[in-house]
Amino acid sequence: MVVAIHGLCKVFNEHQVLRSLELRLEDGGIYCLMAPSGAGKTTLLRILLGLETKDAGTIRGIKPGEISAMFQENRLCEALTPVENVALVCPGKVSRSAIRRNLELILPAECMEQPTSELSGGMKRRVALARAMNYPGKMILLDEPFTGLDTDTKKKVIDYILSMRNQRILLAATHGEEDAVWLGARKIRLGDGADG
Amino acid sequence: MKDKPLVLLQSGLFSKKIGIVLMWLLVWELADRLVANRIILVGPLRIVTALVDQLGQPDFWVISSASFLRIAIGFLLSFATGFLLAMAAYRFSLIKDILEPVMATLITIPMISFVIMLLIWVGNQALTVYLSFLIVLPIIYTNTLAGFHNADKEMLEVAAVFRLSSWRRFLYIYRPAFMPFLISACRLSLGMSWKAGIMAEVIGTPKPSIGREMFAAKTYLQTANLFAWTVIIIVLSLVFEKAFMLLLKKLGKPLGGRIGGR
Repeated sequence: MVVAIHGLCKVFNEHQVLRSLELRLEDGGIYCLMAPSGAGKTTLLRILLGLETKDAGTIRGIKPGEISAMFQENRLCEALTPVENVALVCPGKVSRSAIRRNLELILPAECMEQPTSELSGGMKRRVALARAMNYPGKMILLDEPFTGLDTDTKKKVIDYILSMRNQRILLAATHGEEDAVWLGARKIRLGDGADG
Repeated sequence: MKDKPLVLLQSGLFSKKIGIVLMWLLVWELADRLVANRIILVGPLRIVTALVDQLGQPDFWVISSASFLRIAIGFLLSFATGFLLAMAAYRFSLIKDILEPVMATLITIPMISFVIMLLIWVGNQALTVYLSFLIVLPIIYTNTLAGFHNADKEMLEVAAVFRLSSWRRFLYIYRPAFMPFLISACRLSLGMSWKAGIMAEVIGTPKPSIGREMFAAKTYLQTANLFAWTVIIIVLSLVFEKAFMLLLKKLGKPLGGRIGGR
C-alpha cells in the first residue's frame, strides 16, 4: 500500500498553510514530519484523518477510518481507566487482560485500574499512544508523541511503537531530530519532500 | 491555636443546625400559644397530633398513593419526552427550530392558565398528570439540549477517527456531557412538579387526592389538617426526589466495566 499526496493545498483565513504539497509514503515506511510550529504538520494530519477539508489536491491509497491517530492533545475519557480507554476504540469484544498486558509494556501495572484523570501527563500521553497503536488502522499518525516524556521513557515508548507497528505506515510529527534517528525514520520537511 | 479535627467540626455543624431547627420550632410553638387561635395558627405539637390522626385514617394511603402516582407519572413522562426531544433536536436542527417556539411558550405561560385550559380539555382527574408534564417538559428539554451541545468537540473527533459506534459515542462522550445538566434540571423540576401537581389537585379536586383533602381543610377551616397534609407532601416529594436522584446518579457513573471482555 502506497499513500500518495499530490498538490495538496490548505488556506486558513488567507494564510496558506499547505502549498501544493507532494508526498509519497511507501508501504511499511516510517516517516518523521519535521517543521517548525505553525508550518502545517497538524493540518496535514487532520486532512488525512478527514477532520479538515482540503482546498485542492488528491490523497490516494488511504481514506479516513483506515487511519489510527494520536492527537497533539491526549483526548482521553478521563473517567475511564487506561485499559478501558484503549478497549473503547477497539472494534468487537476485545480482551481486557490482553490490553492490560500490552499497556504494561509502557505503563506501571498499578495505574491500570485508576481513572485516567488521576494519571500524570506523561502517563496519559502513553495511554493515548497505546490507543492509537492498538487500533487496527492501516496507517498510524502520531502528532508530537513524545511530549512530556524523559529520555528513558521515550526510548521505551519508541521500542513499543516499533513492536506494535506491524509493517503499517507510520507518520509522526515531531520537533526532535533524534526522534527520527531512534525511530529509524525518513525525515520529511514540509515543503521539501522526504530525505534521509 | 490548633485546628480542630474534621469529624469534630462536622459534628459541631450538625449540632448547630439541629439547635437552630429546635429554636424555630420553639418560637413557632410559643407563637401558637400566644395567638391561641386554631384557625389562624397551628403549632408543631398540634400538627403532629393532626398528622397522627391522618395516618390512622383508613384511606390515608390510598389518597397519598393517588397523588404520588399522578405527579410521578407526569414527571416521568415529561422526563422521557423532554430527553428524547432534546436528542432529536440535537441531531436534526429542523426539529430544534420547530420546538423552540413551543418550549419558549411553555416557559412563559402562567401556571394558572394551564390549569384552566387543562380543566376544559382533560378534566379534573387527569389535570395533575398533564400539568406536571407541561411544567417539567421545557426544563428537561432545554437543559438536556444544552448538555448535548456541551459534548467535548475534541472527543467527538476521536470518535470520528476511530469509528466509534453511535451507542459508544452516546455512553462515553455525550452522557458525561449532558448528565450534569440533566441532574440540575431534575433537581429543579422535581420540586416544581410537586408544587404544580398539588396546586392542580386543590383546583381540580380529583378523587382521591391530597389536594382534595387540602381543599376540604380550607373549606371547613381545619388549619391543623392543612398543615399536616403539607408535611405529608414534603415527605412524599423528598422520598421521590431522593429515589430519582439516586437512580440518575447511578446512570451517570463511568460504565467503563462494560467495555471489552475478560
